[in-house]
Amino acid sequence: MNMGKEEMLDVFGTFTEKNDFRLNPDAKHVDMILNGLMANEKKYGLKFCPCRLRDGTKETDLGLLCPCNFKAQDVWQKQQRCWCGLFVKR
Amino acid sequence: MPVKKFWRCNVCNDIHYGMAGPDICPTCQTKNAYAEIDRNEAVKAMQLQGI
Repeated sequence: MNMGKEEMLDVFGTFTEKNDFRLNPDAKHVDMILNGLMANEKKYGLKFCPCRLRDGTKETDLGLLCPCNFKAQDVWQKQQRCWCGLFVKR
Repeated sequence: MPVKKFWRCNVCNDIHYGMAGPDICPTCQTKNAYAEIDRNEAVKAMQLQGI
């Protein structure tokens, strides 16, 4: 049974609580991303990033599992958020 | 009785099964990198890694 939105919010909340980032305070934006994650999980069985394209290679697809290694991305360095804007710097 | 869960490191995709994710990932040494995942996700993520 896949996680529902509330469970995902709990999981991401726990994941962020000891880190220097948090969920985006824009609840509408977060809801939109969660919808994308749920759609991908229903389709592929994994919470692939809804904002980037898979190319079917192991390396790329592993890098698209949410939460991804977003602190290694340029967008984190420049805008202090993950590509999707699900996680933002505190 | 507490239930063990699956956890995935967001940096190196290591999978952990236990009460909580490790504070420091034993593989990539990242702190607080583990997020809870469900069983199906753990199985699929391991398959994707060729495990």
